[in-house]
Amino acid sequence: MNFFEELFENKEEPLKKIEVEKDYKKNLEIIKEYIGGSKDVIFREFTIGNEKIKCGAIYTEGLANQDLVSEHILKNLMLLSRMAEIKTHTIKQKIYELLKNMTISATDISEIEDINKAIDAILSGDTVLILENHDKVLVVASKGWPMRGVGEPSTETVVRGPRDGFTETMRVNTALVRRRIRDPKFKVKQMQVGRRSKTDIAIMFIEETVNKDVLEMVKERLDKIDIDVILESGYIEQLIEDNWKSPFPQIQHTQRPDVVAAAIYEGRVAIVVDNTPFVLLAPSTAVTFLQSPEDYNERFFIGSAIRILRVISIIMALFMPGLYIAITSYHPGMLPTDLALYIAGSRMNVPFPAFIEAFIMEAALELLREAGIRLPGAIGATIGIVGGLVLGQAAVEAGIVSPLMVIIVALTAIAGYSAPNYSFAISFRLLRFMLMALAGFLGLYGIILGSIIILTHLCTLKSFGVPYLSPIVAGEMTLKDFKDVFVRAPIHMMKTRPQFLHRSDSTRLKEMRRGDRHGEK
Amino acid sequence: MRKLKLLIISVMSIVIITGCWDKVEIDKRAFVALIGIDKFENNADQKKDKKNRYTVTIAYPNTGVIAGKGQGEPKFIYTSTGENFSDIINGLNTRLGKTTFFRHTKAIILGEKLAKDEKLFREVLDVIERSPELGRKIHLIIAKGEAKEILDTSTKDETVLGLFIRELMEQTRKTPRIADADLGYILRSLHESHTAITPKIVSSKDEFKIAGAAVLKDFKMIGWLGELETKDLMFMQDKIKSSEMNVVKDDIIIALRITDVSTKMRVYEEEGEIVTHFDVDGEANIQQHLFEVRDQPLDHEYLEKIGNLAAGNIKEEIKTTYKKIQDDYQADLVQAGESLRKHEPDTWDKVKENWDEIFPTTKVKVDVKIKVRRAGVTK
Repeated sequence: MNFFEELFENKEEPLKKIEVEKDYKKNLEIIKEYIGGSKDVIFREFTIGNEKIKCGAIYTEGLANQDLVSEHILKNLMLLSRMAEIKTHTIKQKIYELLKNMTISATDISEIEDINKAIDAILSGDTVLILENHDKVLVVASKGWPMRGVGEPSTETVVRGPRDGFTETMRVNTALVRRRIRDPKFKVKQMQVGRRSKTDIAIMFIEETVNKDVLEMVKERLDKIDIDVILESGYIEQLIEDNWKSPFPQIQHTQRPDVVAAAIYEGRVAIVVDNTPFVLLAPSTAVTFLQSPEDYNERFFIGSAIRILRVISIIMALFMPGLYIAITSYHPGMLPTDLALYIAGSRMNVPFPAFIEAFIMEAALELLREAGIRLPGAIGATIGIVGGLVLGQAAVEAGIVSPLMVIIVALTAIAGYSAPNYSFAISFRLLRFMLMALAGFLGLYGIILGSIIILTHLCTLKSFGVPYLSPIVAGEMTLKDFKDVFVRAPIHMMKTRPQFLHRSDSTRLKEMRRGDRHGEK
Repeated sequence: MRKLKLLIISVMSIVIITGCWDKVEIDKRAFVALIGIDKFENNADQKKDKKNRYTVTIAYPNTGVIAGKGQGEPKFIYTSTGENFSDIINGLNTRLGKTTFFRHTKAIILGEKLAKDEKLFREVLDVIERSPELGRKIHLIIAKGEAKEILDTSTKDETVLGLFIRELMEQTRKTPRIADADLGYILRSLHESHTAITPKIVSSKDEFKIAGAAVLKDFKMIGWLGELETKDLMFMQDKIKSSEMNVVKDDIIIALRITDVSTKMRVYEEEGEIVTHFDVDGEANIQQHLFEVRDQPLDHEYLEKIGNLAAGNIKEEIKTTYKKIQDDYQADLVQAGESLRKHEPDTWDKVKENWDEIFPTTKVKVDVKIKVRRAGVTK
């Protein structure tokens, strides 16, 4: 048994097994006792063929595809089975084989002995058939419920790149990734989490490239979860992340199948949670949060330039208001004279100290953003205009804030939005307030203190055993990894996968001579 | 929990106890752009118990006007007297309602009388050097007359006087008639050889002019250098960026602009005498020749001759000015002693005891090479 089979081996039986009995009526009673009384669980009793074998079909309305149930199960059993020329006396003994091989024309059919499992199957959309005088029940896969189609993701939009995004159905999501990875070593392992919700979770990886330590850690942490309900992948993320006290996200989430596929190829592990379009990627480092699929789709000049811009903008979003406060309140000597005089003049008659002024504006900005998100699209835009333009303009004209402050706030807002990952950007937004307070009390000294605190924290932070700042600071730092950090090297130069994930098969690109690339000798 | 409480208490104590001590909002600061320091003139109304020695005038801009927000005077000028500089500034703070801030000071102007008083001048230099707020790039300028007059001048052009003076000083790139000497050079030079030059400023009714230089020796001002002499000194100090020169050839007055000048000074002992050798190397552009005189300005030999003429002029001027510095001021403004100390320590050991007497007897040798590179556009 290899590593992967051992890891995903089903070690324990969660519930007491209830054996299926020979008695048809009794079986039906047991199931009814468990899930009866709900209007959406349908019990359909009928007889099969000429022999009038009693049979019951149980499925959940809305979760099971009713066309499939009526066309391929009920119709076949009730009508078509009569046409099958079978000797009467064999029917009773071989009813199962008969049904499976000759009558039911649904794709997936299996036989189970445990009523608990049957109930699980019914509740996840399958149809269960109970036969007279048979000590096994048949489960016919008939899942089919109304679902949102594959549409363009609302976050992480790109100009150049695929437009499909994950949906709320896990199976669709795994299929979207599978389409991009035809490698036979690509595995989708499945498990259920949630005592009551029994949410399906799929763990996806490529056996040959995955970092086994990370995979083991993921599985172990998922196994430890004992919660009644998992509604969104955020629950999983918060339950398995390394450090819950850190403001930085340690697991990346994405709506884009191409991002997930790329991550899996790099040797990371994807966790798909049912009922949410957000797929988790582990491990994630600060660098991965700054990468956008567009960096790779565009040519490397543009990709690199945008990457650099993004790093700068993240730093700007973190430091700008703090620097404004520190410099105007403590160190105006650092500014060029003309600028210092202008700022002093424009702040004339502003009733608040720089810290309060900045705080009011930044808080107003966060408020606007929150209001804009919660409101429906059209009104959201109105809020933006009213808040951004009218309020800002009025505040400046009333002399409550200086025009430079408005510029700074607007710049930080834009800079903050440029991070491709929403939760990563949020953490910087929070830290910005900390730096503002420190700058208000201690000036530049405070900003330096704050930066030291943040850096120290980042240096100690790990995501599934991988240092958060790798490959910038890491024990196994290699220069090769810097090809995909601040710049994105041309693809023909990125010959290895990121080393900080330390997997076995690291070759991404086989040796390629310049001549080959240009189609010449 | 205990740990957390301790952490919160210690963080808060850092922030609250030590925070904010030097916080002054930017609009509550008076950005002193220009400081004028004069010697206090003893006149009748001074009370006997007060020991006024200085008159300090500061000018700072009305920032509201600069930002296009407020009205009123574009600049504020305050004058105060007192026993020493810091007393006066503290006294001024009580009148201003703002905190004086010297990080953006562009120039300090000293009155002629103060510069000639060794004790006061040394005090002022020490205040300036000791202050962490005053950078080494600011300009120390000596005014002909009183510094206060300069600050009272209302120029038409710039509202911020200090910035205006900075702009004027930037003109050293165009003309060498302004002594290129910032505070850093002056202090260093005074430390090393007890001599230095500072730019000179003269004011008339509604404008002022920076040209020429004041000669400092042994921590007081001992005289002025004219504009042309200043230029020659700049040649010697290798501070020329660009200069003008007229040469006459065949009755044609040719205006040249000398650029890319580099001067190498070497001081050495030759036959018992100290020789200061200047090796000037530069280029020239023809600015003016004569209309419709064709071929000449393009002829190599002709251009070479012009270059040699210009070189000859420079050579003579440098020699004359060097003599003047030796004879009139006995001041080693070219830092020949310092060069000797660095490059010929053995010789320096022999002469350092009485360098002040030896410098006026040193010989000067000048080599000048000017190559006319650009003849300008014709036709």
